[in-house]
Amino acid sequence: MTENAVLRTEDLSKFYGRTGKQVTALENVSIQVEPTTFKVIRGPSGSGKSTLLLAAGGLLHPDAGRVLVREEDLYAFSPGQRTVFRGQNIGFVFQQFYLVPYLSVLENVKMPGVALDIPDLDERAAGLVERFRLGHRVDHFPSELSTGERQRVALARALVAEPGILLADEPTGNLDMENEQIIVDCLREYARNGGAVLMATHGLRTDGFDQVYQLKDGKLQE
Amino acid sequence: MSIWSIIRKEIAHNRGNFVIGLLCIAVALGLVVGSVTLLAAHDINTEQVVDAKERETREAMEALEDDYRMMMRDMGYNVLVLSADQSIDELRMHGAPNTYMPVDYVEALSTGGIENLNHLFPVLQQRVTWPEKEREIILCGTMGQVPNFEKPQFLNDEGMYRNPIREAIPAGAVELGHDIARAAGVAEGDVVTLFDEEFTVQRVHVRRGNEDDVTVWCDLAKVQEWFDLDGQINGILALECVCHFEEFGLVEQEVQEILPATQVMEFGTIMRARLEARARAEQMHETALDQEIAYRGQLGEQRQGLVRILVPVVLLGAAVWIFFLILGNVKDRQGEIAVMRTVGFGEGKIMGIFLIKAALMGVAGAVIGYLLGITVGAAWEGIVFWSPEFGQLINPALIGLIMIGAPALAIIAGWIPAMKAAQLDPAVILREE
Ligand SMILES: Nc1ncnc2c1ncn2[C@@H]1O[C@H](COP(=O)(O)OP(=O)(O)O)[C@@H](O)[C@H]1O
Ligand SMILES: [Mg+2]
Repeated sequence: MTENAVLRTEDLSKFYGRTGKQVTALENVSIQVEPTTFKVIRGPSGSGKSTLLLAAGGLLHPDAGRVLVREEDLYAFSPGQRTVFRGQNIGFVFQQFYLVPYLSVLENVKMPGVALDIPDLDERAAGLVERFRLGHRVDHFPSELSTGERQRVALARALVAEPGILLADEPTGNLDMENEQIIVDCLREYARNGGAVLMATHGLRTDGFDQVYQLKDGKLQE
Repeated sequence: MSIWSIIRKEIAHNRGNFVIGLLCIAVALGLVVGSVTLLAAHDINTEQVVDAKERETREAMEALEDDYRMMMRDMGYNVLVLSADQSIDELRMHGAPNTYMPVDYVEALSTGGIENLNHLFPVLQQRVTWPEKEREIILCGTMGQVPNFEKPQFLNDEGMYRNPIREAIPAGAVELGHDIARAAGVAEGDVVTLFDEEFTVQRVHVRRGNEDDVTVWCDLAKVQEWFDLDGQINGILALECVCHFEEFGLVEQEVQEILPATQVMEFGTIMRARLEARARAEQMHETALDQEIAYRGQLGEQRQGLVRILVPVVLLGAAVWIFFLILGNVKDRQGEIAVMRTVGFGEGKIMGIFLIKAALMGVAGAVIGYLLGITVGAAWEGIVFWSPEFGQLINPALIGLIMIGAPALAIIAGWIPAMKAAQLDPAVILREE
């Protein structure tokens, strides 16, 4: 257990439903992601991957345990503080890209700047758009993009605030093999350059990741 | 990029949603402004209708007054001012007054500011026998009409009556009543002898059926000389010009204020009947006007009642519509809201996005609704766009109320959906595969 982990969960548990039919989505899950690492949570559908990522990202209050991002206890913050902290330190990408349909590619990437003070927003956004090979698409709208391009826009948006950790929930679930490879390469590059990635996947590929957590019925498998 | 450009771009992208909301507010406010305008236009028109009717009545009454004035003039003198101690019985028996007043009296009346007497005609009458013709006559000396300076409208530039009833009779001339002329066998242009003096008959009057028919008129000075009554008269004939029924009978009082030692004989039963008819006509006009005012007042009240029901219903309808519209918009944009929340948008910002949109709908709807309402409301009452009356319908207070009220209404209607958006749990949406 290293002290410099950018993300750490301690005995995280989450139960859905109230009395009677209670579903255990997570049970005593402890993981950690250090800077420059690219880690994967693997598990079948319904195993609790999304629940883990949402709880780790400060979007879902766990029923037990703690989440520490850069040594800050996420759920000790007030909701307002947590929102700002999340915006500054945690990036998200999802299987569905959740792009804003009425904003262009560049505007989607810069969108977090409306909520947060992001230094050098224009330069960063321009740099990300170039890096993800979207330079010729800046003025296009999401509906005019391929799915691969859309996920790259979502990824650029997640990284524009330069968060310490990126949480990716099956980001390649809607993509073909070629685009999946592009996205995974982008994530790996981001991790290598000082970031950190925790990606949920139900795929079988495990090669090339720093660590693979196996999740089954909300419990980590050894 | 700011929250404003996000709102602007969403509106532009999702035009239909915005336009429907805007039109809903425009129609609601159009109805409100339209009905308020209709009421105001109704009041303006009522005022004009009533003014017109009043003017009509006044004109009709004035025309009637002119008619009566003419009629009365044609009927001849209807008032005789006598010395206070003149016995009316004796006057009737003699056929002429036998008490005297100074001729100055007529001067006093003409300058005394008397309202209701006109065509003052001083006379000195004597019942005598025309010695040369051996006939009873009434000899009437006159100096012509003395103007009443209170009534300059009947006078010409020289201060004389434009249409006198009687003219002065020059020295050396006489005028004869119909019967006496016939009995004496005299015609116009003849020379007759009266008290040893020769006079030319300058006129023979038509038959009038009264003592005029046996009257001989000549110069006042001559009669005063014959009867040794220098500076005296015994009557002032006049035309009482009473155009209002209530004034009837006031003339004696008016005359006595100037000349206390007089009395006034009025002989006008026809006049009395005419005045009564006139009063009835005026009454009828006034009743018609009152009915018109009552009818328009009732119509206005009916419309007011309708507006009192319509306005809240329409505003409530618009509010409900906006509520569902914003709610639908929130549902459609759940993913967008969730992702905004993950990248750091606070609840306030999310709420603001929807409330500002609602407010913009309100403002735009208010502008369109106002123009719509005022134009249609005015047209309904027949007031043309941008006419002078239209200017009266522009109500700054209403404009202010609507420009504040419409966005306020939209914000209130959108409040709950916007709150729902802000409190949306992003985890619930983002967990879905
Ligand atoms: N709102 C909910 N109520 C009840 N059960 C839920 C709810 N959300 C998720 N679950 C259950 O929790 C478990 C974990 O779900 P999830 O984290 O979405 O898994 P994964 O992302 O691995 O497919 C599943 O069994 C799912 O059915
Ligand atoms: Mg999942």
